[in-house]
Amino acid sequence: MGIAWEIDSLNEGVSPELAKLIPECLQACYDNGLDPYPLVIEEFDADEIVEIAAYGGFPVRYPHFNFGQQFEQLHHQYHSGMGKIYEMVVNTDPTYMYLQRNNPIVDNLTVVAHATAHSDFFKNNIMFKHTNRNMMNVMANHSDKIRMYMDRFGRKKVKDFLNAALAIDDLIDPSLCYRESSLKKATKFNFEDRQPREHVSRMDTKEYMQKYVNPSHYIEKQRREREERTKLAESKFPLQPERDIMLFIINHCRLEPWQQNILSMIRDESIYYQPQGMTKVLNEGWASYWDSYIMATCNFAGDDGIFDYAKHHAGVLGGKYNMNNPYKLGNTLLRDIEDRWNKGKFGKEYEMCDNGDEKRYWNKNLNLGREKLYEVREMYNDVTFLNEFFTKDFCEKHEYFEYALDKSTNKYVVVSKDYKRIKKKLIDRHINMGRPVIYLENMKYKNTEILLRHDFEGRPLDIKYATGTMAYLHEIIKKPINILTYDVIEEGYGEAKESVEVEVRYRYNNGEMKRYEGGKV
Amino acid sequence: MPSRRIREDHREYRDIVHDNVDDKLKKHIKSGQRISRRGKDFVIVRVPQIELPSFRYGAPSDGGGIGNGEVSEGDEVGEGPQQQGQGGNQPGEGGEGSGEGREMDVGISMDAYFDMIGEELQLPNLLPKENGEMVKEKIKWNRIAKVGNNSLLHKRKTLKNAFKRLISSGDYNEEDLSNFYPIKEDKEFRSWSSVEMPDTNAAIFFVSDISASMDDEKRSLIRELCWYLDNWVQRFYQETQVKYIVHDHHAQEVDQEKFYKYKSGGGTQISSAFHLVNDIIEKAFPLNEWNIYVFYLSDGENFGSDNDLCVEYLKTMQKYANLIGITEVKAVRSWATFLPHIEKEISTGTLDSEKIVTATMQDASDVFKTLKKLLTPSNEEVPF
Repeated sequence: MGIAWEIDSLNEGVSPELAKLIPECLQACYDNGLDPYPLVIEEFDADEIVEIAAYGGFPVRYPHFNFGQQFEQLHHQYHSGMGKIYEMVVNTDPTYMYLQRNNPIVDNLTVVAHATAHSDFFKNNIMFKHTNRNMMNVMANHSDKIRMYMDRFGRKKVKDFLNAALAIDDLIDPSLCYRESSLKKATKFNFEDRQPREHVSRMDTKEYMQKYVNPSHYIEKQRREREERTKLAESKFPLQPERDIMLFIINHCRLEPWQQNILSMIRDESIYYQPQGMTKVLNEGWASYWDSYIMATCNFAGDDGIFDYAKHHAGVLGGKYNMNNPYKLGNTLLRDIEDRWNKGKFGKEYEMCDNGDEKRYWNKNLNLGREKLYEVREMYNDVTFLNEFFTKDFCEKHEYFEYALDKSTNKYVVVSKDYKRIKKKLIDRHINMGRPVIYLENMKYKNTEILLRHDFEGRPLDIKYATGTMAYLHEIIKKPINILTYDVIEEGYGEAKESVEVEVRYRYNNGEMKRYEGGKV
Repeated sequence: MPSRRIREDHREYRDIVHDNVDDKLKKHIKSGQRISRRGKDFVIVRVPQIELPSFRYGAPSDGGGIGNGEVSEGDEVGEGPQQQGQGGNQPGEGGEGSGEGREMDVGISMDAYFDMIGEELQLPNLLPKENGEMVKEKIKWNRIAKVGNNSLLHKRKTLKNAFKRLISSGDYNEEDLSNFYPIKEDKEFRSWSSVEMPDTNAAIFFVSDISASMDDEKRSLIRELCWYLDNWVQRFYQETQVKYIVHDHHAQEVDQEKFYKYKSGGGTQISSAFHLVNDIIEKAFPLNEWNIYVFYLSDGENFGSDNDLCVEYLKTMQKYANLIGITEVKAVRSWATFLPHIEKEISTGTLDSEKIVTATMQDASDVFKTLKKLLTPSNEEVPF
């Protein structure tokens, strides 16, 4: 039996006791069908791992205070015993995983199993199909370039621009991860958008057939359409709302070459992180499913280690009521799927059955669970995963509830156990990674201004943050920025109080944010 | 060891939050709030987390989420938002924020903290005694000797000498260095000389009443004040020794833990403690080597007849001490006879007003006020 990975730096990177156990652990993963990238496993001291974690697993990043803040936070958490760092896995080929040297050996083995499952997920999930796997080098290059720009154009200038770029780094098209990223790389300016073609298309035919094949009303219609387009293009660009605002800025705004470059680097990094944000629940659920399978079901931890393992497991998945814990949710859902497909609790026959007892003890001994799990890990992201498998039965079986903050007592209180509300809330959190959807509507708005549009579905924007973001956008584009959105306003008093959605336009220019109500485009 | 890169980023972050932290600390000190969480050599301040803005949803009006478990509608499931999130086991992924400014902890070194306290409260620096000639002999490795232990060999000098010898004797050959080795005459060794360094040591005596009238609240106030006094005095001396003395009707020396925890039911005789302090000073602390600080803390209750004896002992003590601070904690005026007695003696000049300072403390917000009063010379006005 060949092990599908080589562990090349194992001997230098890991303590001998652990090195002895790792191959067995990996073999167990392999035997159960996991298919990860080659792995590079290294152990570090707590302080080192805090540093690596602050940089998100990459040893070289561009200089930014945010990493310093992360470091401060993690360092502090670790040293005051509030948080423990178990692992870092980086989505690259080969996959790097970092362990912490003074964690118990069972913890570290668990992490190996856990991270192997992550690596398998990175390799096989559809969202990761086009991710750049060479990100270690890419990030290091970005760092070099940005440092070079800092030396050449001044630290403050570049840092300010970098901040601006980071503030808008989520304004990219999430569907990019389904496409080859190089196709949508910054290209040269496309003149066709601006100047629609002049000629009217005619079908090729003989001269005497012309007025039958291309009748004059057909020609006229085309000409009219073309004129309308031209007219529209005078006041509107792009013609279709654009989701990938960052790319659009890179291509169509007046920027210095180094500014373009920084924007496209930040965009690349943002695209790289996108799939991870879109599969958090599934990915973590998958990994913790596997670490418990390898460690407990395969009895890898052994009789002594099982206590350590249980402690670790409880640390990650435990907590009363599991409030907002993505690990737990993903894990529970995957186990439920396995159970359902093992027993054949799916399909039309099961759905149509309305005998409660029969449904409860439904068992066809299909044993398709594992197969289904592999299918789920390959084909789903968080939204589709929750949408399909967070069923009413599941919700009721595990007693999910919705809670809210009672402001008078400053305590969280259960407000609802309604399946539909819970599901909506869960899915809302993962659509577009819980961020509002923003389109670039028009770059020629009032000739010189920029118009964005917020795709409103009931939740208003945080205006404080929007102002900050638009200030940064203004810094980059140097034009007034407008955004169309809705405000939710409470009208009336007492019993008659109700929320009303009002369409508003906010305009940011030179440090000022102004609000216009009923602002049609 | 953190790399240079993270230290750069960390420093940049600290530069950014520096003002923020300063403001927060100053506000704390002004309003008399103390920093409740502290480690061995740092204190912890909560500051707003710095976030780059991005488009995001406004804070949901209920600030809630989804959980699971056996509950029914209306049950309480948790405390209000101190900090959202589920612990720190997956770093690097920020998760979605609640929109409201999240806060994080920043550690401040004790030095910086006390610098700020000193600045805010305008505390004067403590000066070592003028008359005491506190000199300590210290060894400095600043000499070169011709003899010595091989482990102390000064390699560079030795090799240089060997070169010199070789060149001056004309045997030096660039190609062939086989005759280049140090001989005994070349060898030079590191050696020391003793230097007289001015040395400043301080002994701090914390003396407290542990009789039955000292309840837990008073004790915790004392603990708080002692922590500040201790750290403040330590800033000015190279070496400090702290002695803890408790008393009821007789006094004994204890360690720190017992100082804060011991309880006794007996009566109160303050003079016994002062007598013990004098005793210890005479035995263990030669006056030309030690600066002595005595802080007495109690609720001011004493056997009336004992007060005169106290004054006698204090008279002896003020000869030794740099500063004697007497603090009354939550005193009930009709019972507390000790402090008025001392104050009367100070005003008549029997006791030295330069050396003996008195203060009263009612609740936790008074800690800084008391600190200032104890550490500022009596002839200056306290602007509180």
